[in-house]
Amino acid sequence: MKHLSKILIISACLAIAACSGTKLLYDQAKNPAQYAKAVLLHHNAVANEGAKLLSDPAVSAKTKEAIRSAYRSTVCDKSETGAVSTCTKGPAYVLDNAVRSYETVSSAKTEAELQTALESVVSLLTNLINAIRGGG
Amino acid sequence: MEMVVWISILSSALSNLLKSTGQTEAGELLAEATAAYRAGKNVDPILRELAGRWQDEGEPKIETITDTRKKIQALYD
Repeated sequence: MKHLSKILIISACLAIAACSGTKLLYDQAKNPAQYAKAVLLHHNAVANEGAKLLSDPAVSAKTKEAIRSAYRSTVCDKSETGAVSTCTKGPAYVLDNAVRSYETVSSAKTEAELQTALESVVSLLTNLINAIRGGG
Repeated sequence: MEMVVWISILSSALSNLLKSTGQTEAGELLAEATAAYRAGKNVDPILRELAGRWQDEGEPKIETITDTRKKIQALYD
């Protein structure tokens, strides 16, 4: 069951951008913590491109707002209402902590926590990619 | 209509114009760039680079990934 969940997550990761770079990056991962790191690297790469669009005058205010909102949901918790740069409790940070726990004490409990956090970030990363594509 | 969609339509029209005037290569390049932008494929080279670095330097540290995120977050305010 655990294995199936992992496969579903990886499939989702690949489906959100079925490009050779994505495949190469995810191919490096050999355990749950490494898959999480691949997702987090992917998240940073997509977010960096999204930030470039925010300063592009050709992109509409509506699309910029969709990108901002989608990114915010990946790094900020609902309790964090200030500037995005101050957020430290959102899903990406929850996943960071789950990776640390798993790397410190690898157990069924830490793996389950890691997978829950991973599923959340993968879903939100898909939203961010859609916003950048102009469909968010 | 979304500005991004307009850009896509205009780029497509310009691409066809360039092709019709014999400037095939420029037209194709523009069409390719537009398609890549719309498909969100612009991160592919970055992911390739990250994969290569992972292979050369070993597994990335979670602290490094977090630090990079914090720098990116500042671009969103």
